Amino acid sequence: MRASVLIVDDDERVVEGLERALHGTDYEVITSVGSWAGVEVLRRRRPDIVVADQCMPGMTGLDFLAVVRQHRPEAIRILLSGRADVEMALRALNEGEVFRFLTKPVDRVDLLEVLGLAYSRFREGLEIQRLRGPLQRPAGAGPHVRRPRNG
Amino acid sequence: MTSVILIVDDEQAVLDGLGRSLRRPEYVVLSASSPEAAAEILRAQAVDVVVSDHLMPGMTGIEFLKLVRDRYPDTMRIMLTGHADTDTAVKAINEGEIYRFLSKPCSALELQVTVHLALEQLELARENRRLLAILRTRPELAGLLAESRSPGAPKVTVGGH
Repeated sequence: MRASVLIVDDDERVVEGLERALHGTDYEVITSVGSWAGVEVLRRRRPDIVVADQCMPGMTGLDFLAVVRQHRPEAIRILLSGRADVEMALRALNEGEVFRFLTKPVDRVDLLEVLGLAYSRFREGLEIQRLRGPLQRPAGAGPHVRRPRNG
Repeated sequence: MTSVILIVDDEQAVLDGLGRSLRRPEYVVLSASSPEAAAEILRAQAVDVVVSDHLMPGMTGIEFLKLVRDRYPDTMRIMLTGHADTDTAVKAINEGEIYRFLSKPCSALELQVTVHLALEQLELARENRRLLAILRTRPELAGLLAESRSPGAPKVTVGGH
């Protein structure tokens, strides 16, 4: 089974660059330029891993990953950012529960390593979900199990 | 069942304060004034949650939490520091795979809630691992397990609509 990766960035060159980096690998790469378009792609394609850029107009990467968490909770979420700041990183972890926080430019070897780890996490989650059944975690529906909170 | 929480900070006053915040009958709270002392405790006994400061002499909190992740991946890791910077936060996520990153000063309530949530997540993760272990040794039980957990409920097709 091939892992599908959704890449969302408002900068077309970044999307193309990441797509090129994954060319010839086992990943099925799905791309979206801009976060609003990404929501539709997310709904239709149900990717295993989502890589979203933070700085996008309209809907930030963290906002987009919150949508992912709600509608495709099985997907592993990775935030990508050109200008990381501490507040963003803490929100990504404490509220977004992201799997990884990548900073641009992303090295191809690092990207492949992170995606490999993300995909094994995804498969484990899938196995667990199959075992636990629908009572524990409604698949792709309803609010996520635990909301982020402050204090 | 009691849960074991290990707090690591080089300031005794902070250890005392955190210990007070986490004083509950169902918790055993251990404290260490250095990562090295904390590592010794971890070698000697199982710990459910580690709450560590970052800037300490000898070894940083990130280095320590990374070590905890590598050696005791089941232990939930929380960073609590007054010196959060971008690099530390990103490393804590990517290398320490920590559960939460808290900033000092941190209210007793915030700490209590975070530790409580960490313990809930740990319990779920442990149950999941037990189930996975069963599945891997006895794959033929997978269907039975799923059914026994949701009697009468329809099976979920993962990834479908």
